[in-house]
Amino acid sequence: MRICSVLFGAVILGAASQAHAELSGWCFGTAKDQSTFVTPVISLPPRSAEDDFTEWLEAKTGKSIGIAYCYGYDSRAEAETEHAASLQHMYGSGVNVTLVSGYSAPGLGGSQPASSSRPISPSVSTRPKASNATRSKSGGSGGYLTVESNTDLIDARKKWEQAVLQSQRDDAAARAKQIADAARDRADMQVKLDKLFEAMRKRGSAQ
Amino acid sequence: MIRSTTLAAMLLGLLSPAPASAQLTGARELTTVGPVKGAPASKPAPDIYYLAGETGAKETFTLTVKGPASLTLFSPDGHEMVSATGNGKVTLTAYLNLTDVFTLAVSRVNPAQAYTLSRQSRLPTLAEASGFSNIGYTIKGPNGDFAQCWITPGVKYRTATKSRITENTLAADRETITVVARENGKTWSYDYKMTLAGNTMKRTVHRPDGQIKEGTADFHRTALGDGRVREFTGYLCAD
Repeated sequence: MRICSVLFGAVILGAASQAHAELSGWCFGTAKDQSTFVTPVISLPPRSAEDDFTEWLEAKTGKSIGIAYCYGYDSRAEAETEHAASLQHMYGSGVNVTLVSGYSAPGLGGSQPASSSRPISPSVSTRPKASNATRSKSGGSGGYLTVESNTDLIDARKKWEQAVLQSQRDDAAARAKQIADAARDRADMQVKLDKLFEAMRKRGSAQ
Repeated sequence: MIRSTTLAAMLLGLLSPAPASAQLTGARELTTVGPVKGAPASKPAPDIYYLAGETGAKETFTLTVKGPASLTLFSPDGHEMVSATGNGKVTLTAYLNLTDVFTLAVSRVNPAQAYTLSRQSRLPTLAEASGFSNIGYTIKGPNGDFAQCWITPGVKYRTATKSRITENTLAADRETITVVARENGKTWSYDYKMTLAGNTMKRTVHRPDGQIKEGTADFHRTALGDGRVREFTGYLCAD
């Protein structure tokens, strides 16, 4: 099983240490080179749709990121658990999501096997977010998330994206005729259609 | 107590069709005047636009948005004509088959992303306006069905009756159409051009043996697609 973890953690943690800020969550995702990463973050903004924090993390790290999902847990293990559940929900059974304990190894911009890495132990103080207080544990090393292969993840992601778009297309199809009918009934649209027809007739005669 | 006249007015209000504007809630008109901006949304729902389009026009829609997205064009009777999916910039090109109101759907994987959408429309020639009419539909007529679909959109389309299949190719001049017809094991071909004089449309056929044959038809809305019984059977040919 290939394990690939690209970390931006040094950047974030460095910033956190300087600012004496509080660790407020963990982000998981895929870089543009399709390698995966996990990183602690501070000052996590409110949750957005689909847990997508891609733009926010890009701005935070200055790195080009494919997709990033962030969770407001101080405990990495809990964040991973929620991320795994989220991925299973998004990808279904198309991808094998595995949580492996004993994680480590921040290697900014690269990937390392788990055995050669050191545990992440943030030097900043941690405080559970209010909304997650009952579920939070102390930060530090926990499991890390990986998948059987990046190809599986990419394929599953594409399928999921196609399903999302198809669902919206189906929704649009159900409304398309009603909207076209309603628009056609409007006087301004009828005038436009008449003008199109008349313009066509004039152009045809001019040819 | 509600007076009877008031009650009657209320009942009439309930029975009357809803105002068109109410049924258009959530849909915006898309014109060729500048791009429109789509705002971020909280739910993964499509944005729907409507547009007045002309038979034979080449319509090009360009969506600029971060992340995977798709553009889908629906016929005036609500059938999906053609769709394009991409990431970052999505371009959809379609040749309209009616002079009518079409709808366009913008779908995004990440609804939190804003976007811009633009529309370009190329005026059709007479050959395009007449030839591209009803492509995607099967016309139901007293002499049998007449089906039309695109082999190569904008260039080559097929028309078929029970006995005859023709493949029609538009030349680079966008005025000349070359027809290859097959029926009962025989194949023949010819070119034709369309002209319009007043409300009379003239079709001039040039045969390979040099013969020229002319035919005329009235140019009115029916000729451009309205008023006939038709069933949507696919913008693109299945095979």
